[in-house]
Amino acid sequence: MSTQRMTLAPSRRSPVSILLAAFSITVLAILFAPIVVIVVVSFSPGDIMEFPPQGFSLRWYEAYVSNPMWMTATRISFLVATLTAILSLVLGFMVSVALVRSSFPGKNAVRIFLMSPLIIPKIIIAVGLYFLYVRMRILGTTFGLVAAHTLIAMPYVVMIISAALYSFDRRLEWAARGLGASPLSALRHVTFPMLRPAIISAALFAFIASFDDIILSLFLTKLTAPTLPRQIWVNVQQIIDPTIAAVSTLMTLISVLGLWLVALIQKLSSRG
Amino acid sequence: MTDTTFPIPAAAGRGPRRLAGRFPWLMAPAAVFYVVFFGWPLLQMLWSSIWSDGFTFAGYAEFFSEPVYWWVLGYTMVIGVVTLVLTLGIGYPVAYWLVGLNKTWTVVLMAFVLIPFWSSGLVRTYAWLVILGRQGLVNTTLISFGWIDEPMPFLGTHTAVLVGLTYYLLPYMILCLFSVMNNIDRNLMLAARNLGASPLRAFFAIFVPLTKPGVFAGSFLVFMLAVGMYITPALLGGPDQTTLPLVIALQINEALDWTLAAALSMILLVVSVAIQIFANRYVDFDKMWGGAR
Repeated sequence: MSTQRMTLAPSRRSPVSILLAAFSITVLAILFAPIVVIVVVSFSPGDIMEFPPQGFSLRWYEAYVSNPMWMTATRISFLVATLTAILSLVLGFMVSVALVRSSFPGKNAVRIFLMSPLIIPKIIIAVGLYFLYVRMRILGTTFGLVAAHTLIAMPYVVMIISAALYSFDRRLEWAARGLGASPLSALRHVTFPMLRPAIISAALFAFIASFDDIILSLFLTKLTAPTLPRQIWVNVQQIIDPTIAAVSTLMTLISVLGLWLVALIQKLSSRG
Repeated sequence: MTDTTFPIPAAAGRGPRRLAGRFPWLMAPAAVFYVVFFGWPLLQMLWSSIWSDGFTFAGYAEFFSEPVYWWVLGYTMVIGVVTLVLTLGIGYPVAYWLVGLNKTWTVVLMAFVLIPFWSSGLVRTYAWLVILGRQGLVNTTLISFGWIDEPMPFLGTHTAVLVGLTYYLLPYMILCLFSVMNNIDRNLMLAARNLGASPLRAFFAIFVPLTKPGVFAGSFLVFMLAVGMYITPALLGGPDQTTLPLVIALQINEALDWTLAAALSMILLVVSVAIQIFANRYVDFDKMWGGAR
Protein backbone atom coordinates (compact mmCIF):
# COMPACT_ATOMS: atom_id res chain seq x y z
CA MET A 1 0.00 0.00 0.00
CA SER A 2 2.71 2.41 1.00
CA THR A 3 4.71 1.73 -2.13
CA GLN A 4 1.64 2.46 -4.22
CA ARG A 5 1.27 5.74 -2.44
CA MET A 6 4.89 6.57 -3.04
CA THR A 7 4.68 5.99 -6.76
CA LEU A 8 1.37 7.78 -6.88
CA ALA A 9 2.61 11.13 -5.75
CA PRO A 10 4.01 12.16 -9.12
CA SER A 11 6.45 14.72 -7.89
CA ARG A 12 6.89 14.88 -4.15
CA ARG A 13 8.61 18.23 -4.33
CA SER A 14 6.26 19.94 -6.71
CA PRO A 15 5.20 23.42 -5.58
CA VAL A 16 1.64 22.21 -5.11
CA SER A 17 2.55 19.39 -2.74
CA ILE A 18 4.91 21.64 -0.75
CA LEU A 19 2.14 24.21 -0.45
CA LEU A 20 -0.30 21.52 0.61
CA ALA A 21 2.08 20.20 3.25
CA ALA A 22 2.81 23.69 4.58
CA PHE A 23 -0.89 24.52 4.77
CA SER A 24 -1.77 21.24 6.48
CA ILE A 25 1.03 21.47 9.03
CA THR A 26 -0.03 25.03 9.86
CA VAL A 27 -3.64 23.95 10.36
CA LEU A 28 -2.63 21.02 12.56
CA ALA A 29 -0.40 23.33 14.60
CA ILE A 30 -3.25 25.80 15.07
CA LEU A 31 -5.56 22.96 16.10
CA PHE A 32 -3.12 21.97 18.78
CA ALA A 33 -1.80 25.36 19.86
CA PRO A 34 -4.68 26.48 22.11
CA ILE A 35 -4.35 23.30 24.14
CA VAL A 36 -0.63 23.95 24.53
CA VAL A 37 -1.39 27.53 25.59
CA ILE A 38 -3.74 26.29 28.31
CA VAL A 39 -1.20 23.78 29.60
CA VAL A 40 1.62 26.32 29.64
CA VAL A 41 -0.48 29.04 31.29
CA SER A 42 -1.58 26.61 34.00
CA PHE A 43 2.03 26.43 35.23
CA SER A 44 2.53 30.18 35.34
CA PRO A 45 3.63 31.73 38.64
CA GLY A 46 2.12 35.21 38.14
CA ASP A 47 -1.31 36.46 39.11
CA ILE A 48 -2.16 37.38 35.58
CA MET A 49 -1.72 35.21 32.57
CA GLU A 50 1.47 35.72 30.67
CA PHE A 51 2.74 33.92 27.69
CA PRO A 52 5.42 32.69 27.84
CA PRO A 53 5.17 32.59 31.65
CA GLN A 54 8.00 33.96 33.77
CA GLY A 55 8.95 30.72 35.47
CA PHE A 56 7.22 27.62 36.63
CA SER A 57 4.90 27.03 39.54
CA LEU A 58 2.20 24.67 40.68
CA ARG A 59 0.34 27.32 42.62
CA TRP A 60 -2.79 27.13 40.45
CA TYR A 61 -2.92 23.38 40.91
CA GLU A 62 -2.62 23.98 44.65
CA ALA A 63 -5.38 26.56 44.40
CA TYR A 64 -7.51 23.95 42.66
CA VAL A 65 -6.86 21.19 45.16
CA SER A 66 -7.33 23.43 48.20
CA ASN A 67 -10.61 24.92 46.99
CA PRO A 68 -13.58 22.91 48.33
CA MET A 69 -15.79 24.14 45.49
CA TRP A 70 -13.50 22.69 42.83
CA MET A 71 -13.14 19.49 44.82
CA THR A 72 -16.91 19.09 45.12
CA ALA A 73 -17.27 19.67 41.39
CA THR A 74 -14.55 17.11 40.66
CA ARG A 75 -16.19 14.52 42.88
CA ILE A 76 -19.58 15.09 41.26
CA SER A 77 -18.14 14.91 37.75
CA PHE A 78 -16.41 11.60 38.42
CA LEU A 79 -19.45 10.16 40.17
CA VAL A 80 -21.85 11.20 37.42
CA ALA A 81 -19.55 10.02 34.63
CA THR A 82 -19.02 6.64 36.27
CA LEU A 83 -22.74 6.11 36.89
CA THR A 84 -23.45 7.23 33.32
CA ALA A 85 -20.97 4.71 31.95
CA ILE A 86 -22.58 1.90 33.97
CA LEU A 87 -26.18 2.79 33.16
CA SER A 88 -25.60 3.41 29.46
CA LEU A 89 -23.61 0.18 29.20
CA VAL A 90 -26.38 -1.92 30.76
CA LEU A 91 -29.12 -0.33 28.66
CA GLY A 92 -26.95 -0.14 25.55
CA PHE A 93 -25.79 -3.73 25.72
CA MET A 94 -29.30 -5.11 26.02
CA VAL A 95 -30.72 -2.97 23.25
CA SER A 96 -27.75 -3.78 20.98
CA VAL A 97 -28.35 -7.52 21.40
CA ALA A 98 -31.99 -6.98 20.52
CA LEU A 99 -31.10 -4.91 17.46
CA VAL A 100 -28.39 -7.18 16.11
CA ARG A 101 -29.86 -10.57 16.90
CA SER A 102 -33.48 -10.28 16.10
CA SER A 103 -35.60 -8.83 13.39
CA PHE A 104 -38.86 -7.12 14.01
CA PRO A 105 -40.89 -4.53 12.18
CA GLY A 106 -39.68 -0.98 12.61
CA LYS A 107 -36.17 -2.02 13.58
CA ASN A 108 -34.61 0.69 11.48
CA ALA A 109 -36.86 3.35 12.99
CA VAL A 110 -35.78 2.17 16.45
CA ARG A 111 -32.14 2.52 15.44
CA ILE A 112 -32.65 6.05 14.20
CA PHE A 113 -34.54 6.91 17.39
CA LEU A 114 -31.70 5.50 19.49
CA MET A 115 -29.15 7.58 17.59
CA SER A 116 -31.12 10.82 17.51
CA PRO A 117 -29.81 12.33 20.79
CA LEU A 118 -26.51 12.62 18.95
CA ILE A 119 -27.96 14.72 16.15
CA ILE A 120 -30.61 16.84 17.83
CA PRO A 121 -29.09 20.05 19.25
CA LYS A 122 -28.18 19.36 22.86
CA ILE A 123 -29.79 22.59 24.01
CA ILE A 124 -33.19 21.18 23.01
CA ILE A 125 -32.59 18.06 25.08
CA ALA A 126 -31.42 20.27 27.94
CA VAL A 127 -34.51 22.49 27.81
CA GLY A 128 -36.85 19.50 27.52
CA LEU A 129 -35.28 17.79 30.50
CA TYR A 130 -35.24 21.04 32.45
CA PHE A 131 -39.03 21.37 32.05
CA LEU A 132 -39.49 17.73 32.96
CA TYR A 133 -37.21 17.84 36.01
CA VAL A 134 -38.79 20.98 37.39
CA ARG A 135 -42.19 19.28 37.25
CA MET A 136 -40.85 16.01 38.64
CA ARG A 137 -38.93 17.96 41.30
CA ILE A 138 -35.66 16.20 40.48
CA LEU A 139 -33.84 19.25 39.11
CA GLY A 140 -30.31 19.35 40.49
CA THR A 141 -30.24 15.73 41.58
CA THR A 142 -27.42 13.36 40.69
CA PHE A 143 -29.93 10.91 39.28
CA GLY A 144 -31.39 13.52 36.95
CA LEU A 145 -27.99 14.42 35.56
CA VAL A 146 -26.97 10.77 35.18
CA ALA A 147 -30.16 10.08 33.23
CA ALA A 148 -29.51 13.08 30.98
CA HIS A 149 -25.90 12.08 30.36
CA THR A 150 -26.95 8.49 29.72
CA LEU A 151 -29.17 9.78 26.96
CA ILE A 152 -26.27 11.45 25.17
CA ALA A 153 -23.92 8.51 25.85
CA MET A 154 -26.32 5.85 24.53
CA PRO A 155 -25.69 6.48 20.81
CA TYR A 156 -21.95 5.89 21.28
CA VAL A 157 -22.49 2.76 23.35
CA VAL A 158 -25.05 1.28 20.95
CA MET A 159 -22.81 2.07 17.98
CA ILE A 160 -19.74 0.40 19.47
CA ILE A 161 -21.46 -2.65 20.97
CA SER A 162 -23.62 -3.26 17.88
CA ALA A 163 -20.58 -3.14 15.63
CA ALA A 164 -18.82 -5.69 17.84
CA LEU A 165 -21.90 -7.92 17.97
CA TYR A 166 -22.25 -7.85 14.19
CA SER A 167 -18.75 -9.18 13.74
CA PHE A 168 -19.11 -11.65 16.59
CA ASP A 169 -19.14 -15.28 15.47
CA ARG A 170 -22.29 -16.67 17.02
CA ARG A 171 -21.24 -20.24 16.35
CA LEU A 172 -18.93 -19.91 19.35
CA GLU A 173 -21.96 -19.32 21.52
CA TRP A 174 -23.84 -22.16 19.90
CA ALA A 175 -20.85 -24.43 20.47
CA ALA A 176 -20.86 -23.53 24.16
CA ARG A 177 -24.59 -24.20 24.31
CA GLY A 178 -24.10 -27.50 22.49
CA LEU A 179 -21.51 -28.50 25.04
CA GLY A 180 -24.10 -28.04 27.74
CA ALA A 181 -23.71 -24.43 28.83
CA SER A 182 -26.81 -22.59 29.94
CA PRO A 183 -27.63 -19.39 28.01
CA LEU A 184 -26.37 -17.31 30.90
CA SER A 185 -23.12 -19.15 31.32
CA ALA A 186 -22.53 -19.03 27.55
CA LEU A 187 -23.04 -15.29 27.81
CA ARG A 188 -20.68 -15.04 30.76
CA HIS A 189 -17.91 -17.32 29.57
CA VAL A 190 -18.00 -16.82 25.81
CA THR A 191 -19.82 -13.66 24.75
CA PHE A 192 -18.65 -11.20 27.40
CA PRO A 193 -14.94 -12.09 27.24
CA MET A 194 -14.96 -11.75 23.46
CA LEU A 195 -16.79 -8.44 23.60
CA ARG A 196 -14.66 -7.07 26.40
CA PRO A 197 -12.66 -4.63 24.21
CA ALA A 198 -15.87 -3.16 22.81
CA ILE A 199 -17.44 -2.98 26.25
CA ILE A 200 -14.46 -1.15 27.71
CA SER A 201 -14.31 1.25 24.74
CA ALA A 202 -18.01 1.95 25.04
CA ALA A 203 -17.66 2.61 28.77
CA LEU A 204 -14.80 5.04 28.12
CA PHE A 205 -16.79 6.87 25.44
CA ALA A 206 -19.76 7.16 27.77
CA PHE A 207 -17.55 8.36 30.61
CA ILE A 208 -15.96 11.08 28.49
CA ALA A 209 -19.30 12.10 26.95
CA SER A 210 -20.57 12.74 30.48
CA PHE A 211 -17.36 14.19 31.85
CA ASP A 212 -17.01 16.78 29.06
CA ASP A 213 -20.64 17.78 28.85
CA ILE A 214 -21.39 21.39 29.65
CA ILE A 215 -24.79 22.20 28.25
CA LEU A 216 -26.85 19.61 30.14
CA SER A 217 -24.91 20.35 33.33
CA LEU A 218 -25.62 24.04 32.86
CA PHE A 219 -29.38 23.48 32.90
CA LEU A 220 -29.69 20.51 35.20
CA THR A 221 -27.25 21.06 38.07
CA LYS A 222 -27.49 23.33 41.08
CA LEU A 223 -24.92 26.05 41.62
CA THR A 224 -24.03 24.44 44.94
CA ALA A 225 -23.45 21.05 43.34
CA PRO A 226 -21.92 21.73 39.91
CA THR A 227 -19.95 19.46 37.63
CA LEU A 228 -16.41 20.45 36.68
CA PRO A 229 -17.44 22.05 33.36
CA ARG A 230 -20.20 23.98 35.13
CA GLN A 231 -17.74 25.21 37.74
CA ILE A 232 -15.36 26.27 34.96
CA TRP A 233 -18.26 28.07 33.29
CA VAL A 234 -19.12 29.98 36.48
CA ASN A 235 -15.50 31.04 36.92
CA VAL A 236 -14.91 31.91 33.27
CA GLN A 237 -17.68 34.46 33.38
CA GLN A 238 -16.29 36.20 36.43
CA ILE A 239 -12.53 36.38 36.23
CA ILE A 240 -9.84 34.93 34.09
CA ASP A 241 -7.99 33.04 36.74
CA PRO A 242 -5.25 30.53 35.89
CA THR A 243 -6.95 28.00 38.19
CA ILE A 244 -9.30 27.35 35.29
CA ALA A 245 -6.27 26.65 33.12
CA ALA A 246 -5.05 24.10 35.68
CA VAL A 247 -8.45 22.40 35.80
CA SER A 248 -8.68 22.48 32.01
CA THR A 249 -5.28 20.86 31.73
CA LEU A 250 -6.37 18.05 34.05
CA MET A 251 -9.63 17.60 32.11
CA THR A 252 -7.74 17.43 28.83
CA LEU A 253 -5.37 14.92 30.37
CA ILE A 254 -8.31 12.69 31.32
CA SER A 255 -9.81 12.94 27.82
CA VAL A 256 -6.49 12.13 26.20
CA LEU A 257 -6.02 9.23 28.60
CA GLY A 258 -9.43 7.91 27.55
CA LEU A 259 -8.55 8.23 23.88
CA TRP A 260 -5.22 6.52 24.42
CA LEU A 261 -6.87 3.62 26.28
CA VAL A 262 -9.42 3.13 23.49
CA ALA A 263 -6.64 3.13 20.90
CA LEU A 264 -4.62 0.69 23.02
CA ILE A 265 -7.58 -1.67 23.41
CA GLN A 266 -8.25 -1.59 19.68
CA LYS A 267 -4.63 -2.34 18.95
CA LEU A 268 -4.47 -5.21 21.43
CA SER A 269 -7.74 -6.77 20.34
CA SER A 270 -6.92 -6.57 16.64
CA ARG A 271 -3.66 -8.32 17.38
CA GLY A 272 -5.04 -11.04 19.65
CA MET B 1 -15.57 -21.69 6.85
CA THR B 2 -19.25 -21.89 6.00
CA ASP B 3 -22.14 -22.77 8.22
CA THR B 4 -22.49 -26.25 6.81
CA THR B 5 -18.97 -27.31 7.69
CA PHE B 6 -19.42 -26.38 11.31
CA PRO B 7 -21.17 -29.13 13.23
CA ILE B 8 -23.90 -27.55 15.27
CA PRO B 9 -25.48 -29.98 17.70
CA ALA B 10 -29.18 -30.34 17.23
CA ALA B 11 -29.99 -29.19 20.73
CA ALA B 12 -27.95 -26.02 20.38
CA GLY B 13 -29.58 -25.35 17.04
CA ARG B 14 -32.93 -25.22 18.74
CA GLY B 15 -31.69 -23.20 21.65
CA PRO B 16 -30.63 -20.01 19.91
CA ARG B 17 -33.62 -20.03 17.65
CA ARG B 18 -35.94 -20.28 20.60
CA LEU B 19 -34.04 -17.47 22.27
CA ALA B 20 -34.14 -15.31 19.17
CA GLY B 21 -37.79 -14.67 19.67
CA ARG B 22 -37.11 -13.19 23.07
CA PHE B 23 -34.46 -10.73 22.10
CA PRO B 24 -36.80 -7.83 21.34
CA TRP B 25 -37.67 -7.81 25.02
CA LEU B 26 -34.11 -6.81 25.80
CA MET B 27 -35.07 -3.50 24.29
CA ALA B 28 -37.64 -2.82 26.97
CA PRO B 29 -35.40 -1.07 29.55
CA ALA B 30 -33.84 1.20 26.94
CA ALA B 31 -37.25 1.83 25.39
CA VAL B 32 -38.70 2.88 28.73
CA PHE B 33 -35.67 5.05 29.38
CA TYR B 34 -35.93 6.79 26.01
CA VAL B 35 -39.65 7.34 26.35
CA VAL B 36 -39.29 8.90 29.81
CA PHE B 37 -36.16 10.98 29.26
CA PHE B 38 -36.34 11.76 25.55
CA GLY B 39 -39.74 11.27 23.97
CA TRP B 40 -41.75 12.57 26.90
CA PRO B 41 -39.70 15.79 27.43
CA LEU B 42 -39.92 16.60 23.73
CA LEU B 43 -43.68 16.05 23.70
CA GLN B 44 -44.01 18.08 26.85
CA MET B 45 -42.02 20.84 25.24
CA LEU B 46 -44.37 20.81 22.28
CA TRP B 47 -47.25 20.96 24.76
CA SER B 48 -45.65 23.81 26.73
CA SER B 49 -45.26 25.78 23.54
CA ILE B 50 -49.03 25.77 22.91
CA TRP B 51 -50.49 25.49 26.40
CA SER B 52 -50.24 27.92 29.27
CA ASP B 53 -53.51 28.05 31.22
CA GLY B 54 -55.35 27.34 28.03
CA PHE B 55 -54.36 27.06 24.39
CA THR B 56 -52.05 29.79 23.30
CA PHE B 57 -49.91 30.44 20.32
CA ALA B 58 -48.33 33.40 22.05
CA GLY B 59 -44.83 31.90 21.81
CA TYR B 60 -45.06 31.29 18.08
CA ALA B 61 -46.91 34.56 17.54
CA GLU B 62 -44.10 36.41 19.27
CA PHE B 63 -41.51 34.63 17.18
CA PHE B 64 -43.23 35.34 13.89
CA SER B 65 -44.17 38.94 14.69
CA GLU B 66 -40.86 40.10 16.14
CA PRO B 67 -38.28 40.75 13.41
CA VAL B 68 -35.53 40.29 15.99
CA TYR B 69 -36.27 36.56 16.24
CA TRP B 70 -36.23 36.22 12.49
CA TRP B 71 -32.93 37.96 12.53
CA VAL B 72 -31.60 35.59 15.20
CA LEU B 73 -32.80 32.53 13.27
CA GLY B 74 -31.24 33.87 10.08
CA TYR B 75 -28.00 34.70 11.86
CA THR B 76 -27.87 31.21 13.37
CA MET B 77 -28.28 29.63 9.94
CA VAL B 78 -25.69 31.94 8.36
CA ILE B 79 -23.21 31.12 11.11
CA GLY B 80 -23.88 27.42 10.50
CA VAL B 81 -23.32 27.72 6.75
CA VAL B 82 -20.18 29.87 7.05
CA THR B 83 -18.71 27.49 9.63
CA LEU B 84 -19.49 24.58 7.34
CA VAL B 85 -17.80 26.28 4.37
CA LEU B 86 -14.75 27.20 6.45
CA THR B 87 -14.29 23.73 7.97
CA LEU B 88 -14.78 22.10 4.56
CA GLY B 89 -12.39 24.49 2.84
CA ILE B 90 -9.71 24.03 5.49
CA GLY B 91 -10.40 20.39 6.30
CA TYR B 92 -10.46 18.99 2.77
CA PRO B 93 -6.84 19.74 1.85
CA VAL B 94 -5.65 18.66 5.29
CA ALA B 95 -7.50 15.34 5.12
CA TYR B 96 -6.17 14.81 1.60
CA TRP B 97 -2.66 15.45 2.78
CA LEU B 98 -3.01 13.15 5.81
CA VAL B 99 -4.30 10.28 3.70
CA GLY B 100 -1.34 10.54 1.34
CA LEU B 101 1.27 10.21 4.07
CA ASN B 102 2.85 6.92 5.01
CA LYS B 103 1.21 5.06 7.85
CA THR B 104 3.50 6.08 10.69
CA TRP B 105 3.15 9.77 9.93
CA THR B 106 -0.60 9.48 9.51
CA VAL B 107 -0.90 7.93 12.98
CA VAL B 108 1.36 10.56 14.54
CA LEU B 109 -0.33 13.52 12.88
CA MET B 110 -3.84 12.23 13.40
CA ALA B 111 -3.15 12.73 17.10
CA PHE B 112 -3.20 16.46 16.37
CA VAL B 113 -6.76 16.02 15.15
CA LEU B 114 -7.92 13.41 17.64
CA ILE B 115 -6.68 15.08 20.81
CA PRO B 116 -8.62 18.31 20.18
CA PHE B 117 -11.56 16.16 19.03
CA TRP B 118 -11.57 14.38 22.37
CA SER B 119 -10.91 17.39 24.56
CA SER B 120 -13.78 19.20 26.20
CA GLY B 121 -15.42 21.80 24.00
CA LEU B 122 -15.58 24.19 26.93
CA VAL B 123 -11.85 23.89 27.55
CA ARG B 124 -11.11 24.51 23.89
CA THR B 125 -13.39 27.54 23.77
CA TYR B 126 -11.91 28.85 27.01
CA ALA B 127 -8.50 28.61 25.34
CA TRP B 128 -9.64 31.18 22.77
CA LEU B 129 -10.83 33.41 25.58
CA VAL B 130 -7.33 33.22 27.04
CA ILE B 131 -5.82 34.03 23.67
CA LEU B 132 -8.19 36.74 22.44
CA GLY B 133 -9.62 38.23 25.65
CA ARG B 134 -9.11 41.78 26.92
CA GLN B 135 -6.38 40.55 29.21
CA GLY B 136 -5.64 37.73 26.80
CA LEU B 137 -2.31 36.73 25.40
CA VAL B 138 -2.53 38.66 22.14
CA ASN B 139 -3.48 41.91 23.87
CA THR B 140 -0.95 41.65 26.70
CA THR B 141 1.78 40.81 24.21
CA LEU B 142 0.91 43.70 21.95
CA ILE B 143 0.76 46.10 24.92
CA SER B 144 4.03 44.86 26.39
CA PHE B 145 5.70 45.54 23.06
CA GLY B 146 4.15 48.99 23.10
CA TRP B 147 2.38 48.45 19.79
CA ILE B 148 -1.01 49.34 21.25
CA ASP B 149 -2.07 51.25 24.36
CA GLU B 150 -5.58 49.93 24.83
CA PRO B 151 -6.58 46.25 24.56
CA MET B 152 -8.16 45.52 21.21
CA PRO B 153 -11.71 44.17 21.33
CA PHE B 154 -11.28 40.82 19.58
CA LEU B 155 -14.16 39.22 21.44
CA GLY B 156 -17.76 40.04 20.74
CA THR B 157 -17.20 40.03 17.00
CA HIS B 158 -18.54 37.77 14.26
CA THR B 159 -14.96 36.78 13.54
CA ALA B 160 -14.37 35.58 17.10
CA VAL B 161 -17.48 33.39 16.99
CA LEU B 162 -16.54 31.99 13.59
CA VAL B 163 -12.96 31.33 14.69
CA GLY B 164 -14.24 29.54 17.79
CA LEU B 165 -16.78 27.43 15.90
CA THR B 166 -14.42 26.58 13.06
CA TYR B 167 -11.73 25.63 15.52
CA TYR B 168 -14.15 23.52 17.54
CA LEU B 169 -15.70 21.70 14.57
CA LEU B 170 -12.72 21.29 12.24
CA PRO B 171 -11.69 17.91 13.77
CA TYR B 172 -15.19 16.54 13.07
CA MET B 173 -14.91 17.55 9.42
CA ILE B 174 -11.37 16.21 9.03
CA LEU B 175 -12.32 12.86 10.58
CA CYS B 176 -15.37 12.47 8.33
CA LEU B 177 -13.36 13.29 5.23
CA PHE B 178 -10.39 11.21 6.30
CA SER B 179 -12.43 8.04 6.87
CA VAL B 180 -13.88 8.28 3.35
CA MET B 181 -10.67 9.31 1.60
CA ASN B 182 -8.76 6.54 3.32
CA ASN B 183 -10.94 3.92 1.62
CA ILE B 184 -10.58 5.30 -1.88
CA ASP B 185 -8.54 3.04 -4.13
CA ARG B 186 -5.79 5.33 -5.31
CA ASN B 187 -5.14 3.06 -8.27
CA LEU B 188 -8.18 4.68 -9.85
CA MET B 189 -6.33 7.95 -10.05
CA LEU B 190 -3.26 6.18 -11.30
CA ALA B 191 -5.39 4.62 -14.01
CA ALA B 192 -6.76 8.03 -14.94
CA ARG B 193 -3.22 9.38 -15.17
CA ASN B 194 -2.19 6.44 -17.35
CA LEU B 195 -5.08 7.15 -19.65
CA GLY B 196 -3.72 10.63 -20.16
CA ALA B 197 -5.51 12.77 -17.59
CA SER B 198 -3.56 15.58 -16.05
CA PRO B 199 -3.04 15.33 -12.25
CA LEU B 200 -5.58 18.10 -11.77
CA ARG B 201 -8.14 16.41 -14.00
CA ALA B 202 -7.59 13.03 -12.26
CA PHE B 203 -8.13 14.75 -8.93
CA PHE B 204 -11.32 16.57 -9.86
CA ALA B 205 -12.86 13.93 -12.13
CA ILE B 206 -12.04 10.85 -10.05
CA PHE B 207 -11.04 11.68 -6.48
CA VAL B 208 -13.42 14.51 -5.59
CA PRO B 209 -16.62 12.72 -6.68
CA LEU B 210 -15.59 9.67 -4.65
CA THR B 211 -15.25 11.79 -1.50
CA LYS B 212 -18.87 13.00 -1.74
CA PRO B 213 -20.16 10.79 1.10
CA GLY B 214 -17.53 12.23 3.43
CA VAL B 215 -18.25 15.79 2.32
CA PHE B 216 -21.99 15.36 2.90
CA ALA B 217 -21.56 13.62 6.24
CA GLY B 218 -19.02 16.15 7.50
CA SER B 219 -21.05 19.12 6.29
CA PHE B 220 -24.21 17.82 7.91
CA LEU B 221 -22.48 17.11 11.21
CA VAL B 222 -20.70 20.46 11.33
CA PHE B 223 -23.80 22.43 10.40
CA MET B 224 -25.98 20.69 12.97
CA LEU B 225 -23.42 21.16 15.72
CA ALA B 226 -22.74 24.79 14.79
CA VAL B 227 -26.43 25.69 14.77
CA GLY B 228 -27.02 24.07 18.15
CA MET B 229 -23.87 25.38 19.81
CA TYR B 230 -24.33 27.37 22.97
CA ILE B 231 -20.99 27.91 24.65
CA THR B 232 -19.04 29.31 21.71
CA PRO B 233 -21.32 32.27 20.89
CA ALA B 234 -21.94 32.77 24.61
CA LEU B 235 -18.26 33.06 25.49
CA LEU B 236 -16.75 34.56 22.35
CA GLY B 237 -19.65 36.60 21.00
CA GLY B 238 -21.42 39.73 22.12
CA PRO B 239 -24.97 41.06 21.82
CA ASP B 240 -24.64 41.15 18.04
CA GLN B 241 -23.75 37.46 17.93
CA THR B 242 -26.95 36.16 19.46
CA THR B 243 -27.91 32.75 18.13
CA LEU B 244 -31.09 30.78 18.68
CA PRO B 245 -29.66 28.60 21.51
CA LEU B 246 -28.62 31.77 23.35
CA VAL B 247 -32.13 33.20 23.11
CA ILE B 248 -33.63 29.94 24.34
CA ALA B 249 -31.32 29.89 27.36
CA LEU B 250 -32.08 33.55 28.03
CA GLN B 251 -35.83 32.89 28.10
CA ILE B 252 -35.34 30.14 30.67
CA ASN B 253 -32.70 31.70 32.90
CA GLU B 254 -33.69 35.33 32.90
CA ALA B 255 -36.96 36.09 31.14
CA LEU B 256 -38.58 32.96 32.66
CA ASP B 257 -40.86 32.78 29.63
CA TRP B 258 -41.32 29.04 29.24
CA THR B 259 -43.90 29.33 26.50
CA LEU B 260 -41.54 31.32 24.32
CA ALA B 261 -38.57 29.11 25.25
CA ALA B 262 -40.57 26.02 24.30
CA ALA B 263 -41.74 27.61 21.04
CA LEU B 264 -38.19 28.63 20.12
CA SER B 265 -36.91 25.13 20.97
CA MET B 266 -39.61 23.60 18.79
CA ILE B 267 -38.60 25.87 15.92
CA LEU B 268 -34.94 24.84 16.30
CA LEU B 269 -36.04 21.20 16.52
CA VAL B 270 -38.17 21.44 13.40
CA VAL B 271 -35.31 23.06 11.50
CA SER B 272 -32.90 20.31 12.65
CA VAL B 273 -35.27 17.49 11.81
CA ALA B 274 -35.98 19.01 8.39
CA ILE B 275 -32.26 19.21 7.68
CA GLN B 276 -31.85 15.66 8.95
CA ILE B 277 -34.54 14.34 6.63
CA PHE B 278 -33.01 16.26 3.75
CA ALA B 279 -29.55 14.93 4.62
CA ASN B 280 -30.83 11.38 4.96
CA ARG B 281 -31.08 11.24 1.19
CA TYR B 282 -27.40 12.02 0.79
CA VAL B 283 -25.70 10.80 3.93
CA ASP B 284 -25.14 7.17 4.77
CA PHE B 285 -25.35 7.47 8.55
CA ASP B 286 -24.10 3.96 9.20
CA LYS B 287 -20.94 4.74 7.32
CA MET B 288 -20.60 8.14 8.93
CA TRP B 289 -20.85 6.78 12.45
CA GLY B 290 -18.62 3.89 11.57
CA GLY B 291 -16.08 6.41 10.37
CA ALA B 292 -16.38 8.79 13.30
CA ARG B 293 -15.34 6.00 15.55
